[in-house]
Amino acid sequence: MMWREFLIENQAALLVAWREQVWLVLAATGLALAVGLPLGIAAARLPKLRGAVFMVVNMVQTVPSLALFGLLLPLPWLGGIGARTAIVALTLYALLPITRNVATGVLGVEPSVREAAEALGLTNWQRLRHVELPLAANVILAGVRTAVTLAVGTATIAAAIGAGGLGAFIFRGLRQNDNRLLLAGGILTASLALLADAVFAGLERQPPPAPRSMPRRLAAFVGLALIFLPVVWSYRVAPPVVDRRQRPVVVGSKDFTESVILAEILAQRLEEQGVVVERRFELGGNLAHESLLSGAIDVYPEYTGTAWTAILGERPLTDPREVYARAQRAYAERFGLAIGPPLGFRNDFAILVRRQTVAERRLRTISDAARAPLRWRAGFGQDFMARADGYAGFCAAYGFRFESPREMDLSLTYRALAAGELDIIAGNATDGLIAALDLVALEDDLQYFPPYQAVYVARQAALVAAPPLAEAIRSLDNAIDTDAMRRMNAAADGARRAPREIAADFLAAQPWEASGAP
Amino acid sequence: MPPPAPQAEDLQVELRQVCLTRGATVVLDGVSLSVRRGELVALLGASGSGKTSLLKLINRMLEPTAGAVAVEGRPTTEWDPIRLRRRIGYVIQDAGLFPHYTVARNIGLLLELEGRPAAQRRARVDRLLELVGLAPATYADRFPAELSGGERQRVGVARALALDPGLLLLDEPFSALDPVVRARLQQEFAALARELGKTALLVTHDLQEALRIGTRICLLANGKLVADAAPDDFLRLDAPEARAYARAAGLGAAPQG
Ligand SMILES: Nc1ncnc2c1ncn2[C@@H]1O[C@H](COP(=O)(O)OP(=O)(O)OP(=O)(O)O)[C@@H](O)[C@H]1O
Ligand SMILES: [Mg+2]
Repeated sequence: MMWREFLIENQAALLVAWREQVWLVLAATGLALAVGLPLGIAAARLPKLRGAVFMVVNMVQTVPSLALFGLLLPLPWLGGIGARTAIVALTLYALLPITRNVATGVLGVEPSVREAAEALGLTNWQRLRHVELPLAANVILAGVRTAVTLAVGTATIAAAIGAGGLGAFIFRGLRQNDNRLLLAGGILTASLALLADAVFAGLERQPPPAPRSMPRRLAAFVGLALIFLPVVWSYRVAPPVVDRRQRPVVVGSKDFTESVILAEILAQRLEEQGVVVERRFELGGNLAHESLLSGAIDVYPEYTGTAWTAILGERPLTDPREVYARAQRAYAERFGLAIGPPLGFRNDFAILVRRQTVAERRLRTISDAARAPLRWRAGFGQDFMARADGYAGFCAAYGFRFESPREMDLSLTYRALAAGELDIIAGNATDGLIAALDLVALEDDLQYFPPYQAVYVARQAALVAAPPLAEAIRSLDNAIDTDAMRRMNAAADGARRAPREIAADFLAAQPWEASGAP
Repeated sequence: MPPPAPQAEDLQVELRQVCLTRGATVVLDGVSLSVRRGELVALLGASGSGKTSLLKLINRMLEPTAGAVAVEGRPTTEWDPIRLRRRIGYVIQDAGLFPHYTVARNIGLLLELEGRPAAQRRARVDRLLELVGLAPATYADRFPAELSGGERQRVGVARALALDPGLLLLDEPFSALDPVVRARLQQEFAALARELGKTALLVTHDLQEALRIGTRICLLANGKLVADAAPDDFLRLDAPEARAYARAAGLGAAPQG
C-alpha cells in the first residue's frame, strides 16, 4: 500500500520532526518551570503581587499562538526565525498553567500545617522545601502536565516560523493537498501528547501512606522510553550536520511548494559546487524577507510583483520589465539586496474556477465571470485579501461584487473549490493543484494583475562572501519556463514527490550537467 | 498569695502593656504578664479572646501593635525570629503534623535542620516518643494519617520538645481527647514539664484542666487579662468572668477555703 512507501521514504524526516518537537516542548516546559516556580511561589506568598502576576500570564494565554509568534519575530535576542522564537512563545504559553498551579498548590497547604512549620522555626526556604512544595507537588505536576500537553499541540504551529517539528508535516500536507502528510503529522503529534500524559500520570503520587501504583509507574516508564527512543534513533538516521570549517550558505524559502522547489534547486546547485548549504525552508508570511534583512538567511526565491507591491509598498504596475528594473534598483538602494536574473516564468495571481463551471457557463475571461448572473461563493487566501494588488482592486477593476467572501488558508481554498464548497478562488498561475484538481484559470482580460516574475533575492554581503552563490544564481538565468514549473509543482502536489527529488531531476536534465560538474 | 517581684534573669516571658489589632479587631488591649522559669501558666479565655494570638506574640509570629514582649530578658524585636522559635517549643492548636512525613521525621525534622547526625537523631526521636508514651517500634514509621487524634497531639508535643527548649507554648494540646485519656495525659504532661524543668504557657478552654496542671491561671476577656492567680485562689476571685468560668465548670458554689 501507499503508506508503506510513504513511511519508508519519510522515515528520516519524520524522526527528525519528532526529535525537534520533543526538544521544543522539553526546552519550553523546562524554561517555564524555571520561571513559573519562583513566580508562583512569589504569587502565593505576596497577595499584592498575585493579581498582577495572574493578569499578565492570563493575558499572554489569550494571544493566539500564530499572533504571538508574529509579535516575537522582530524582537532582538528573543525573536528571529527558528527554534528560539518558538521556544520563547511556547514558554510564555506554558507559564500560565505552571504558575497558577504552583500558587494554588502552595496556597492549598492546610493552614495548620503551614503554621506549624512557621512556629517550629523553619526558615522561608525550609518551609518551601519541606512543607509547601512537597504538599503542593501533585497540583504542580498537574500544571506541568497541562503545560506539556498544550506545548505539544502549540509547537506544531511553530513550523510556520521555521522551527521545524511535526507541524511542518501538517502545514505541508495542507499545502500539497496530501492526506498522508497531514495524518502522519497529526497522529504523531497526538501520540506524543498521549505518551507525555502517561508519563505524568505515572509521576503523580497518592498521599502517603498509600503505596505507589506499579502499573502506572510502568506505564510512565514505557511512555518515557517511547518518547525518547525515536529521538535517539533520529540521531543515528539523521545526525545534525555541523560543519564548522566553512560558513554555510543559508537558503530560505517561503511556505509553499513552488518556493520550496526553487530553493531546493538553488541549494542543490550550490552543493554540486561543494558549498555547504543550510536549509531554512517554509518561512510563512513576510518572514523570508525579514530573515534576509536580519542576515538569518542569505538567499530565497521571490517574485518581482511581490517585491514591488507587498515589500516596497509601491502601486501595482503592469509592465514586467518596468517592475523588474525598478524593484531591482529599490532593493539595492534600500535594503542592500540583489535581485538576480528572472528564472523564466511568471506566477501571477490566477482566478480559478471548476472546469464544469467553465463549460456550463461558457466562461473564458474574468470579465465573463463578472457578467455571469451567478451568486459566486468566493474564498481567498489571507494574502490576496490584504494586498494592494489583491481583492479590493480586483473587485473594483472587474466590477465584481461578492457576498461575504471567505478569507481562509490558500491551500484550503483549492480543496474547497474542487469539493464544490466554493465557486471561485484566487490561486497562483503555476500551481500544480490547478492541473491536479482539474481547475481552470480565467484570462485576466483587463490585465489587472501585475506580473510576478520569479527571481532569487540574495544579500549582497553573502554574494561577496560566497562567490559560488552568485555563480549558481547566474546559471539559473531563464532556466525554468512556466510549463517546467507547473510540471514540478504538479509532481509535488499531485504525484507527491519530494521537492528534493524533483529538484535533482530538474538539475540532472540541465545542459551544464553534460559538461560535468566537479 | 501575690507572687513575689520576679528577678530579671528569672523571667522567661514578659509582656508589657501589649496591644494587638488584627484587621479591624482589637484582640489584646494593654495586657501585661510575666512568666518565671519553671512556671506552668494555664491561659483561659473564651473562643476568639486572643489566646492563640498571645502565644504568637511570644515567638514573634505576630508583632504587637503597642507595648513590648521580651523572652529571656531580651525584647523579641531583637531576636532573630528563626533562632527565637527554635528556642521555644510550640504545639499548635490542631497539631499541624506534616502529613507527608513519618512520625519520626516529623519529630526529627528540626534536629535534621540543625545538622545533627542521623544516629543521634534516631535515638532522640525514640526517647521523645517514649516520653510522650508512644512505643517507637510501633509509631516511628507511621504517617500522621495512620494516627488517632490523641496520638497526633502527643507527636505534636514530642516534636515541640525535639530541640529541648526551655520554654513551651501549648495551644489546646489535649482538646481532641476523651476525658479519661485527657486527664491522664494532663497529669503526665505536668509531671514531664516539672521533671524536665520546663516553663510552659498552656492554652485551654477548660477550667478543670487549668486547675489540674497549672501553677498559675490567667484569664483573657475582652482583650484584657482579667484574672491572674494561683489555682487555689482562682475560684475565690471577684472578677465576673472568673466567676462565670467557675460556675460553668460546676465549681462556682465551692465554699470559701
Ligand atoms: N489572621 C487574622 N486576621 C484577622 N483577625 C484574626 C486573625 N486571626 C485571628 N483573628 C481574630 O483575632 C481574634 C483572636 O483570635 P485568636 O485565634 O487569638 O483567638 P483564640 O482565643 O485563640 O480563639 P480559639 O479559642 O477559638 O482558638 C479573633 O477575634 C479572631 O477573629
Ligand atoms: Mg486559638
